Amino acid sequence: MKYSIYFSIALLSLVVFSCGEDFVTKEYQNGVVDENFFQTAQDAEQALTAVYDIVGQKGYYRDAIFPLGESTSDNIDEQTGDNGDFGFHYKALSDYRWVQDNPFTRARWYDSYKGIFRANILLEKLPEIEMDDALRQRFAAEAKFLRGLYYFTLIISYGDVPLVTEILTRDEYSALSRTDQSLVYAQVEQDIMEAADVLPVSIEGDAEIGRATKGSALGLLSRVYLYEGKWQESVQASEQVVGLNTYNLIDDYGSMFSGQNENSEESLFEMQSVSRAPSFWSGQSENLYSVMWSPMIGWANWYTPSVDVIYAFEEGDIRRKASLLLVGANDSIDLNGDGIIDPFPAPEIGSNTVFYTDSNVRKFLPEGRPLNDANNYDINFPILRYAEILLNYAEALNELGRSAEALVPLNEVRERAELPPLSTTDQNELRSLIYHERRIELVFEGHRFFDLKRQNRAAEILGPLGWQTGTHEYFPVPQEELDLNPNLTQYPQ
Amino acid sequence: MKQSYSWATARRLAILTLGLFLPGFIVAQSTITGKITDKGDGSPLPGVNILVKGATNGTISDVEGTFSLSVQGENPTLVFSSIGYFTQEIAVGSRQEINVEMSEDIASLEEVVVVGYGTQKKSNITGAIASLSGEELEQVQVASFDQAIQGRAAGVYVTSNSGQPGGGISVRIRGIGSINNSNPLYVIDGVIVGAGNSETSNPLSTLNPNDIESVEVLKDAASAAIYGARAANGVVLITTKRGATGQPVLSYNGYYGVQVPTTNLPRPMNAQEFAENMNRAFTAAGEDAPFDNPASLGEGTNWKDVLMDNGSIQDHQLSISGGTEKHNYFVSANFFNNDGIMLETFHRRMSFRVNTDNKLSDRWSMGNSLAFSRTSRYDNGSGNRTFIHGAFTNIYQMLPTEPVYNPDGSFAGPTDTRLERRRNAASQILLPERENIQNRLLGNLYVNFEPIPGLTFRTSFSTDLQARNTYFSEPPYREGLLEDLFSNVNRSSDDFTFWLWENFATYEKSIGKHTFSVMAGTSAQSQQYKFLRASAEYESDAFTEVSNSALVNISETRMNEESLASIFGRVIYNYDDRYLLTANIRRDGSSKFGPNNKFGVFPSFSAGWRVSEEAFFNSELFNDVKLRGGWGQVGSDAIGNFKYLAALNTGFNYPFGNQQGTSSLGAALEELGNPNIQWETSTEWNVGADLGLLENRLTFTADYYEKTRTDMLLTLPLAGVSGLARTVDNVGELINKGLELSTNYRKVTGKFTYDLNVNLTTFSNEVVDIDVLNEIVASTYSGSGAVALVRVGQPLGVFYGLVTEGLFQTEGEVQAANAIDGDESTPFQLNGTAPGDFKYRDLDGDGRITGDDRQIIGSPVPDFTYGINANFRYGAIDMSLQFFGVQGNEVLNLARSIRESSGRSFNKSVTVVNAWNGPGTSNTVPRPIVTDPNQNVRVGTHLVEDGSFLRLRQLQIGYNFPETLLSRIGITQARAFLAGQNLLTFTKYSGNDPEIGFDGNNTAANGIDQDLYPQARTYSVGLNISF
Repeated sequence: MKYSIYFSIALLSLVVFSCGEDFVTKEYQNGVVDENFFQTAQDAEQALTAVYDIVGQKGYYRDAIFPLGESTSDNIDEQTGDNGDFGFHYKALSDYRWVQDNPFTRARWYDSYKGIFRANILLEKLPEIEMDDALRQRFAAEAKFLRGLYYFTLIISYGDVPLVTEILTRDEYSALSRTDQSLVYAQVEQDIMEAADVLPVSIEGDAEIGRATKGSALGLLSRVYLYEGKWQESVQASEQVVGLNTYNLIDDYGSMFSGQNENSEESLFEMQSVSRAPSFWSGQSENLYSVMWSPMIGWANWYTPSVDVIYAFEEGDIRRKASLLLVGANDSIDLNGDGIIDPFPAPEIGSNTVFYTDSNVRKFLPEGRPLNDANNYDINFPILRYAEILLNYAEALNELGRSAEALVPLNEVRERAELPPLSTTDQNELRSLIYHERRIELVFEGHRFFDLKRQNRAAEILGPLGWQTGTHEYFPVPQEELDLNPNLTQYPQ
Repeated sequence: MKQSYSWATARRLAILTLGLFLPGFIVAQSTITGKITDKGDGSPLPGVNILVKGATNGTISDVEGTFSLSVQGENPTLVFSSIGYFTQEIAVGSRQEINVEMSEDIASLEEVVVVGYGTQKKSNITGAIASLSGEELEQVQVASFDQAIQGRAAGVYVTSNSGQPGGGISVRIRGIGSINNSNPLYVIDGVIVGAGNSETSNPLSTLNPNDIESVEVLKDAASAAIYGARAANGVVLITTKRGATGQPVLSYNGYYGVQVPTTNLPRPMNAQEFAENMNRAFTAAGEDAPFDNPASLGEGTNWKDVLMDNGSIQDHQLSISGGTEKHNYFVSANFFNNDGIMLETFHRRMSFRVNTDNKLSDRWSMGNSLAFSRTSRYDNGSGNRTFIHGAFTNIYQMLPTEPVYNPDGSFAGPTDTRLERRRNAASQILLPERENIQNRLLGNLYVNFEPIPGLTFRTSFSTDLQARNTYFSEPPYREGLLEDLFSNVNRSSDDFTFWLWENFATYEKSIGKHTFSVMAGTSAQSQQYKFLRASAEYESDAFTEVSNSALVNISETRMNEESLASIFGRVIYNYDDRYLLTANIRRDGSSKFGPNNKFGVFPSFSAGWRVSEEAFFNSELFNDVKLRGGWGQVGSDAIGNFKYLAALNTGFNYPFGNQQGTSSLGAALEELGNPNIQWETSTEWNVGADLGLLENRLTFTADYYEKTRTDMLLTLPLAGVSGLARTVDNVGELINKGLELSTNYRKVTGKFTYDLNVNLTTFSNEVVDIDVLNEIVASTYSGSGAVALVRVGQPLGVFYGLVTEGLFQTEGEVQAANAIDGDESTPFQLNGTAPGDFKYRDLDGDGRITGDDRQIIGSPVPDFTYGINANFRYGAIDMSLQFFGVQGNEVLNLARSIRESSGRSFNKSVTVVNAWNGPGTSNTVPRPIVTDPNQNVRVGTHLVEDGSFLRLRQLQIGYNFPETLLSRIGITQARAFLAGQNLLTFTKYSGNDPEIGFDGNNTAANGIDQDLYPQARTYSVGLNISF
């Protein structure tokens, strides 16, 4: 019996000993944890990729660029009766019913700050990582370029925004308030200039396609200064881009938007898009959301061109055909990808789609592949292209009173569009012509609304459509964000 | 029950022994004879102990109930006592013959209660424990036992989260314990199984309720502390049936029932009504009316008829049990099937159980519990609470103008581009092939060793093995304007392995009036969870499995481990059955926490005073009076694994090198880790009293508790400007207080017998602290931002929104409101607000409606809940009734904001036919306008409704076949019954079902109706037979 007692006690003790610290410590098996990350160059590269990731997210060039930059303007006339989850919100933006939970304005807010956080943490950790120093400098420059792009996008979307350039604590994040946009602009300028100093003029090898270059930074700088009205600085930035001797306007304008001519020599920075697993409908693909207004997907008839923009093109402008599909135009588009140009619209499944203005946006629809396959919309979005730089250059020069010089870049853009050169040197007249050229050249690319605002023409042009001074300069901040942050104010106050 | 049986046997044996010795010492003076009978049925009572008060002599009654006893002295008093009966004192006087009727002590204080690592006599319990028998649970025809305890015990608040077969159940013991998982810990035959994610599907539904012998709920910290770090939400101990010595008993229990919806839901609009409504809605938005001739459309498709149907429920159980002195067994097999009231929703279970106990020698015994179950369940999405996409929401939103099938028999789809293009809900359910099967083996093996009397060692090894397989495949389809050119195939497999090894020793010793019981032990458990998923897409429906020929092929695996190591102990001291003391302690170490906070210690103390056992206590009315009090600390570790780490999220890829088909991998943090997180702690004190009156026919129990949950683990949303989503920290404090009352009256004699139980539980729930934040958003909703909050000074999950003041009736009213801020050109509400839109109250008086004009508009926490349970028996007929009620809570009826919404071009409830259509036509249902410029969908007071209800949960009428008839065909007992569930519901609530429950794992989002699957009303017939 004694033996049994000892046996039992031994049994108990065994368990007690086995139940120490080690027994109740487990390893995380499903990925990398914080403390083990930011150790190697590969970690840094993955962290940087995550900063780029935002470029292709909903709040940016994959989706929100269209409703926020164009539906809100006179280029797009959302008349569609589709009141589903997407069309409803496109139309609300078009009608200036701007509510805090609009998925596009929300996504822009959250995605911007996600990108900024990822850039901030990378910039903070980079100095400690053991890696090639040149590569470290380049990664930092890319992160700064992207942070500049995200802050710039925030300013034009929301006005004064909280400025964060380091990693804060939870309480500090919840106490941020709007920073005057002049200070945010200063940060944007600094980030982009520092990036431009380091970034290479050209990328090496196909694997680097899509990475920011010196041209990307200088091109963005040219746009930023234009928005700030810093004409001289903008001119300088544009001249630097021109001086790189890397970029040219390409002949086939339309090919830049149809997947035929991606990352061309006109492109300074471009959102990369691939058709990859899984299918578009699963929501994880990186396809462009232009599929949403494709006439062949059948259920997506929004993003309707306005009558005004249809008639804004000059006679003979090659950009009209590249930008618009017009009902009955026999030379329209190859709808089913069989190599034969079909009349528009097709009688197939899209036949129920209503073309309110007898037209449809053609930009960002694929060419040479069936339009009814949603996986074909792997079209890159040209974020910065040389034509815009030339127009920035022309506009800034004209504002400085150097109208004759402004005609040079302006006519370069017109020449590509197969339009005759302009010759007026009257500053006011030329300003209107530059504005018009910019509208047409960059139509449906997300510039129009923001251009009208910075040109102080929103009240004049958008007023009749419902835009109100003091209310629609900026998008509303999500309500949850205000709920979490007592110091953050809504716009308008 | 085995314990109870052996206890009683031991006592009888002692009395018998006593009785045999005593007669030798007495000197006969006069002899008194008599017969003792049971007051209930008049049968003779053998073995009754008869003593002469103040003397040492006595006797016991024989098998005929008769006795003979010599007494001396003047006017002696005889004391008649027997286990299970009330003791009587009778003065002899001059009588020679005394016949005694003894009343059964129905409260049965000698009953033994399972308390965790042991049992205790009910009369000596010092904590707050509710005890329910298997018989009580079997009165309700449900899939899972937790549904059967609804309304049964004070302080145990059970709510179905959905009427979905096998759907989630919330069990809240003593208020809503935490913002986190507030489910109690479940222990089945000593196997700690936890609750898992029981909100959306119920893990306990794998347990066959017919196998349950008893359920004990350890409500207070003083009782639950023996389970330490996991006991903060209470502990539910489930004991399954075991064999008893005797002839084998073969039983069949079964029922079959049909199910219909409990409430008469308003129908969706028919095609004509919908077309008229849409024409108004489009015209109001300045667009062309989509329908030329609504009247020609007639009824159209009624999606309610398409998607709902009568359900059925059936259960069949065969069991055999029996045993000898040394071996006993209980074996059962069960089949359960519930087809829900919605298309293709079901829950099926097959289960088997083998329980044995074996006495190997005087010192050694061993036994086992083992159950296998196979569950199959399919919930068509209507059980999840994701708005808009649940199948139940589809009943209202699918367009009545669209058919279910095309003329060729294929599924139809949306064809009108101007209207909402929603996938055919019937096709969504019927087109795919699905499977969701879970196999579970749950069991343990124990060895008991008793080296010396009073000292017992027990070692118990348990395991819980669960494997779940799901399958989904859907062919490519084209339905109207919608199409998916790819088929979708998905298989997943979860594998859960758990083992638990517990060793503990118990020593019991009595010295005079002092009785001690000491228990100490260790416990170690480990679990591993593995997940594997593979999915593929094909261009045709030729493939129904994942393979290399797929266009797209995705696979994913995950693995998680968790372990817990503990030591625990208990001391019970009892002086003369009058003064009772219990102390528990447990130290747990858990892998869920970081190195800084792995271990926690959880103590408790409780004491009781049985006033009725005192010499001075002499009452005819009261048989039992006990006062109790206790204090304890228990923990909760109900968070995911590795929350102390910040794990990097991947998938933030970017396709550098355009069109190469692959993306560069990106990784980023989405949450902040917190290495310091630790257990939540609940500190609770409890005072209670138990009273027994009228020979314990009337009993009364009252408890008052106050428990404070500190270090509440909050998932704190981070401001979007952080670029991160969330972090966790121990920052919250929550107080629950409540009074629990329960009373029971039994009439056990005569042909008509009954018992009646009424219980009531009050709720007081207050968030005391949530760190630097004043509030946390518990739930958000389209257009409204936060709609439920965790706010300091308020109950958990209060509703938040605008104050609705009816509808604007005239343009003048709108303009007057616009002018309040002095500028008529800026809108009071929104651009486009017009007559027929909701008008909100300007709380901050700035002349505009903004987010600042929201306030707390309701609370989901009830004032009290109550249950009324009654059993009647008259001869061969028996009847039972159970009512369950909730009073004083509010429901946020989000479902109505969509069903009666202004905007969007999907179908709505028929109530929209009476929407505002000119001044004075309605002040509640806003005008139809597709663009909804006023955002009438926003949450306001108009959506807050009284959620109180009283429900007749169960009515059952049974007939017991006469034994004389049965014995001829070899049947011992047979009973047939008719039962109805949810037959009556008294409520003012206008939605599907007032029983809303909780939202997913988010305990703070409570009482928000997101178009739930309603409870079913069941009519069933059943049969119980024993051979």
